[in-house]
Amino acid sequence: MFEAAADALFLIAQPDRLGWMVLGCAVGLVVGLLPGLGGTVGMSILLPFVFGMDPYSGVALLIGMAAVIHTGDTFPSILIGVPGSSGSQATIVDGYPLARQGKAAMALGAAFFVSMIGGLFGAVVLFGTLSIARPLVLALGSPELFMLAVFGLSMVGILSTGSPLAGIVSALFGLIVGTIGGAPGVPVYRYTFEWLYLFDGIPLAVLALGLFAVPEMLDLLAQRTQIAQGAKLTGSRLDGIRVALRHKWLIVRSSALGAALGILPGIGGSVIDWIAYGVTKQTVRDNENFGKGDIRGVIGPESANNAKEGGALVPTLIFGIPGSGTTAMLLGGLILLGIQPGPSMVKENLDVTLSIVWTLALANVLGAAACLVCAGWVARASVIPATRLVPFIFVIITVAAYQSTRHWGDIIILLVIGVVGWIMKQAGWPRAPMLIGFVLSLVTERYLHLSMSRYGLDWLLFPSVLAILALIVIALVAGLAPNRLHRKPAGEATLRSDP
Amino acid sequence: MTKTVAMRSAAAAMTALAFTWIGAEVEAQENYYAGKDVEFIVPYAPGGGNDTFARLLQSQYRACMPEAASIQVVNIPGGATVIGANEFELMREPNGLSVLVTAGTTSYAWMLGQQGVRYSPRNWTPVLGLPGGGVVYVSPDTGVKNIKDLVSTDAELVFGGISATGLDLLGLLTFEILGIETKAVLGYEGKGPVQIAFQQGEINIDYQTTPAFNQLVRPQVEEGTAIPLYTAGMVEDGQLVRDPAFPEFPSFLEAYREARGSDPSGPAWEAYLALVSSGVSAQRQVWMHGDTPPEALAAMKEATACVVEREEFYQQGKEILAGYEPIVGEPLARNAAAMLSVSDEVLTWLRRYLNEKYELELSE
Repeated sequence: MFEAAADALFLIAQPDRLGWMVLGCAVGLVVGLLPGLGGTVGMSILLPFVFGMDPYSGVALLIGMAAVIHTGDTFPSILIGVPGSSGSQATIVDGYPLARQGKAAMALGAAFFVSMIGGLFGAVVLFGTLSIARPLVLALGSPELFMLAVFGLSMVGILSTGSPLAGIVSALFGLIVGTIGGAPGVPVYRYTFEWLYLFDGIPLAVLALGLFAVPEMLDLLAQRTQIAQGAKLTGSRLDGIRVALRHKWLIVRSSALGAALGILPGIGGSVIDWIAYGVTKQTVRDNENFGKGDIRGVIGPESANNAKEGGALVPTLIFGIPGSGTTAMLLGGLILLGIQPGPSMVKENLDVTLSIVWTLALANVLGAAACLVCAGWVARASVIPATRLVPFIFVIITVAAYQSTRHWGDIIILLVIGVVGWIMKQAGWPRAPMLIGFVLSLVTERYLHLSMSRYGLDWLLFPSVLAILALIVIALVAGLAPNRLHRKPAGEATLRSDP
Repeated sequence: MTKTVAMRSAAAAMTALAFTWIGAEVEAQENYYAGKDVEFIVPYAPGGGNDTFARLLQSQYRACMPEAASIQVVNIPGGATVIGANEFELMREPNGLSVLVTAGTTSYAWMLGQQGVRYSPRNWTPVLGLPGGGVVYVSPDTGVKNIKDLVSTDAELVFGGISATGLDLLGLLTFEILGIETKAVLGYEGKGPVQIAFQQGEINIDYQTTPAFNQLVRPQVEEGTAIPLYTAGMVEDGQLVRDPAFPEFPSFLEAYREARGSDPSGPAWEAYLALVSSGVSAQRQVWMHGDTPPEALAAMKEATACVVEREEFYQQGKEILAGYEPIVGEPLARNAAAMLSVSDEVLTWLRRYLNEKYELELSE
């Protein structure tokens, strides 16, 4: 295996293949940087070009792009409080308050550094689990996947401390919004009002932009200030790296969590950063500053969202089952290159798989380095007055939302959700639980339906199901108990970004 | 007064002259597609099998239609291909510049009268079809070793699928025709997860299409953890014949004969033949509007004939063609006719069967 890995490094180190990787990275960073555009958009840009390329060059291009999406998407999340892609929403919670305190450069430095470590971690996990992931994936049937989705939902409790009830209501609302469109298993369409646009449900990017970006922009305009209050910047990128190094165990923990959750098919990449945020908040001491600009709230999700890409490649390559939207399209890309993912990826096509591992590692280092170089310069965007910045960002948000299906419905729904998000922000209702409910809605319903139609009620007593249930109870108790001990003075919702 | 008449006739003469001149220009360029932009509409998101097939076609048609200014793949995903197919029918001019690349799902949604369908393949003309079959296989845990065991077993048979209105309908109908009881667990995200469920033992009988069978199931057949029973077969001149990708496996017709000792008949069997015509014999199809100008249709057919002659088509498309030969011309037209001439009686039976057995609400 290690010898083969060395051979694969030579394969990937050809100048032309390195060139493709650099090009992929460039596309990935730009797509990540633009709010709302994520890996799936990057893939649709690149897929037409890979046809007829040799597999190693094609892989270098596609993986180079996918690897750095979650590095580049940190910029808008921290600087303007707008998710750069659907995988970097949790970064906003603490990253944006840091930018408002003028510490954008420090937050970015820490984020890029841990993104790189997380990405490398993901590559190592991909390499290490290729031959042993099979039994793990095979151990998870529909009942277990349902329970894992419920575990994801239980994060809502942690993310809405101060107002658990508002959090639960918000999550339920998200679950209902998530049922709009086609039901799993039957050609029944719900809450569509015979409008064809809604047959596929509301696109995640539109919901995320509407919920987080639009309200933020409206408030910035209303306050007529700049993002960094006082318009001065303190802290540097190097400070960020130094701070991150002080939390090395947090980086390792979050990376491991991200990679492990990435391996599980069916959970979906866009909740992993939230779960990582929730777990970070739960497992560190003195967490009362979370939501108001705690750098650990940036380190946790940023390590996890880069690490998950390596994990998500495991089921994609071995079983041909995508672990995230990006890998779903990567699957198509591999077929375009003449590689059919499946068990052969660890046998005949091992060299391709290993070149994927190397590309993932190299691209993460390259992407983080590029971002670190630019960070100091880009951080100054946070001192631009809102009246100049907002119209520009509004255009980007609208165009990005329109990329989801290129149907005018995208714009309408963006505005509707934007108003809902703004009202929720004004009323102090947490918005993250709604997003988690939305993302997990289909997954929860699908696996509950499958479990019931396969096993009736018997699955409730499966040992594996009970084990995950115990985990959920522990997470809930741990999440709610400390709050009862030292209740916070004012009932701030975690996600209120106003300091 | 006479002056105006003269002027009018002069203008008419000049217009006529201009038209003949333009006509000559078009004739000189010969090809209808010269300088035009052509789009291949794919009713799926990028990255799936159909998208891959369309991109293969894009590169091949580029070589065979060098006159065209551009050939683009346009993805219009959503509603199980209904949104893209609707858009093709309702919002694209029948000028030959838009073609639709479908998989069986699009025809099935129309046959079953699903919600939102505003198109009808009866208004379209096929220019290229690609067969794509599949295999029904079973887990040895059921004790079933061959087709005879399948119809006499007491073991609980659990079939896994995405939806009873998609390609899984083929597998489900074979069980209905054989008269065996299976529990259908539907709602999986794709056929990949279904195969995992098979390996887990969550389900124990499954239908997989050719590329997936070769890649994922064959190793299990060699290990002895999966037993192939029959292929869906192909419809050729109204007869169900063996799948050319699996000459070693019996078609469903042969399997039925062996199990029941007679030939199948009745509305279920007729429905099955129509579903095989539209979802297997030409699993992927390239369509143009039925009222496309004849010169556009002729140019597209000429380019298609060129595409299926190209060696690169088969080299680059090795994975996606999965060993099948594309069908064009007369055989393709016959196949489409077989699918489109399915009687209302059979369709009503099919919808009622789905409504009753799978608790759907299809309009009968």
